Amino acid sequence: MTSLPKSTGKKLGLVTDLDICVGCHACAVSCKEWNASGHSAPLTDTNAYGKDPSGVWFNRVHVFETQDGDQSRTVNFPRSCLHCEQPACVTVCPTGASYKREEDGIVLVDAEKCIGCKLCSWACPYGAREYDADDGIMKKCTLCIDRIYNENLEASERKPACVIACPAGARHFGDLGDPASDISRLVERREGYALMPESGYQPVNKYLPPRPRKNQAGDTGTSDHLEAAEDAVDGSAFFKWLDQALSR
Amino acid sequence: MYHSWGSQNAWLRQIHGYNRLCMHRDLAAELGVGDDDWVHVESHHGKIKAQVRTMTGCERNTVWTWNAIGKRRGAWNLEDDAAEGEKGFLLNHLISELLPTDGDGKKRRMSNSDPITGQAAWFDLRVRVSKAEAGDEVSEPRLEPLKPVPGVQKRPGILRFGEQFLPKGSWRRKERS
Amino acid sequence: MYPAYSVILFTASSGAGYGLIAWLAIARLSGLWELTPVTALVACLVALVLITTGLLSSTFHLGHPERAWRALSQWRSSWLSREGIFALLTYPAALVFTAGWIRPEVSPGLMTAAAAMTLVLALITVISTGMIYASLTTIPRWHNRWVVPVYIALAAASGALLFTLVLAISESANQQSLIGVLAVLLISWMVKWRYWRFIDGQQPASTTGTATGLGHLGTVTQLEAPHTSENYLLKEMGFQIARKHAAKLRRMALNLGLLLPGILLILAGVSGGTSQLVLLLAATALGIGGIVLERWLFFAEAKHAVTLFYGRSL
Repeated sequence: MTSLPKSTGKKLGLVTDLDICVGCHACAVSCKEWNASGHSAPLTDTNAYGKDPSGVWFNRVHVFETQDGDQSRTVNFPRSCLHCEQPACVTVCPTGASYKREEDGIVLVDAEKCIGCKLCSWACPYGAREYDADDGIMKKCTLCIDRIYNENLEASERKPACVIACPAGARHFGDLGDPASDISRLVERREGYALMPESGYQPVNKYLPPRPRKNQAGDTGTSDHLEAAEDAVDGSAFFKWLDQALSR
Repeated sequence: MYHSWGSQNAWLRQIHGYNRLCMHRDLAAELGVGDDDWVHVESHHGKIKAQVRTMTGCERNTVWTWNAIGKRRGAWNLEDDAAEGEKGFLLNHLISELLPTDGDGKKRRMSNSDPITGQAAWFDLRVRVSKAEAGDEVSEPRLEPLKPVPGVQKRPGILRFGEQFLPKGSWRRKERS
Repeated sequence: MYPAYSVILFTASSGAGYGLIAWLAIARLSGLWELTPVTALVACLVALVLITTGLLSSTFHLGHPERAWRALSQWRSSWLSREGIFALLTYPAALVFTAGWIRPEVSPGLMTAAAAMTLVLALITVISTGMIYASLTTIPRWHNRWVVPVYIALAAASGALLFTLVLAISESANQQSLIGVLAVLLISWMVKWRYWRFIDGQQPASTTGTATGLGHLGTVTQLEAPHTSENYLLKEMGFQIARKHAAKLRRMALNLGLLLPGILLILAGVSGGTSQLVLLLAATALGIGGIVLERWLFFAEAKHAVTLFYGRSL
């Protein structure tokens, strides 16, 4: 159904911390690996060992440089479906293969209905959708819907593969529709933002901006991890940090 | 993407199929080169040809690259025209394995590596970078492609990892050999 | 945007077909021209072939053409779905209109109704095609008020050129009619020219800075792409054409689509018989060639917002 739900029960999504991401691509590769053995399988690669290899990925990591006078920064930037609230990729679909779930807002493709017209990918400004030419259908991030509700997994593993894979803890998952959730509070605290807001698509996923440069001593503030671990362990700040780091 | 053997991996080589010589914009401007232009890089030990990428977040007089990417053609069972061999390059040709002789040349030469761990420690190599003609637009040195190793499987062109996990009878199980 | 030949031929062919059948309907409704019934019948069939060929060719560019029937279901939200529905709805009226030229079972009243419905539905279908592109906010060069008028205008122009052949065979290709067709060509390409001027002057709000949200840190450039070879996004949405090259092709499109057919139309106006027909055939072939080139450019010159993430600008 390509008419959008008026509102969704939850707004499940991801938050990516651009201050922490080191550009290792672990999220991108683990996503491809998880989905290659799931409902979207296979994520076909063509010319795999040749001159112009090309494959279907749901998550891609760019590296940007920003420059302001003599101030420059390198920012590693994972890009994947933002599970927008007003996604045109859903409304333009002529068959109803592209849809947004009312219960949690996840945007999916029905592989049995998709005719491979590619119009949804034309409608997405974020490049979230990649066409599998071998299967003739569109594929995209499923927010690991087959993980997050999967009773066969430990409760702590019921998160998107990319969130678990990130060695730096730069990715978070939760309900961005609940202002009291950890993820919503994180977004608020770090002034998380939506990409290309002028698109009007109202992305649910948010990005945490790189923190201001610490050009002077004393600029260092407390990290999010430390704030969260305040109640975790009594003792010195070092042990608090160690405990948090080890329990990641 | 960080080790040479990553190029065997069909997914990793999509991320990095070739490497570029990264340098500060100001250095590039001084050399009269821009993105994708060709340069010669020379050391006391050798000379290579590579393509440039300009950037800002790099020390003004230091050049660097994702060195593991460059390959000899035919290596790692890749196609002969794979980017790793055509455009990728290796700094290794510039680097001597041994430290310079010690004065009279009688003492055994030391390995050019970290004295404790034996790891590569080549960041002190001085090079001259100069603009080069694009020519055939391939990196140098250009060695003859390695012959395929006997008995090694023919590499597939299309990879469909995971289709075997789909339900039997699914139209997406094509299972072409 | 990658100019897929199947899509270009689809819009050009079906546009010409809808244009032709629209002019035939106008001829019937207005009585401005005397058309030989058999000639009109054949012309209607040619129009239907052009429309059908176009629609079928569009399904060949699908990953799953066998599922194409599903594309009729989401008319509530999708212009592509609406286009499919209107295209199909046009057929009953168009078939009655076609048959009515020679079948006495189709009464004059029914024929008039069929002609009117064919005209309206052909117009709505062409509008729907244009809206598929114009509704995409991701492509500023498509998301503007000129795109739908261009689709209508060039369908009318290609249809009008084909219509001159009908007139010639019916021996009704007088000077006024041909000047009229020239006027249609002129107006159509003026609309196209205004579109080009509009897109050349555009200043899209979106930049790599707004796309990444890093604009507040300064100029944002891409240091490394996520992949060193092309992926689907760059192949489909990253097609580029140099401005100088595009400018040359625009001039060629105008020459093929307007200048040369215009000269040939004027010459045809002072000719008769076979030579007139030959001149009009040449005008039609060149004119439609110009429209195909225009359609190729419409795709090639379009820039997609996703390329902002790859460091390009709109």
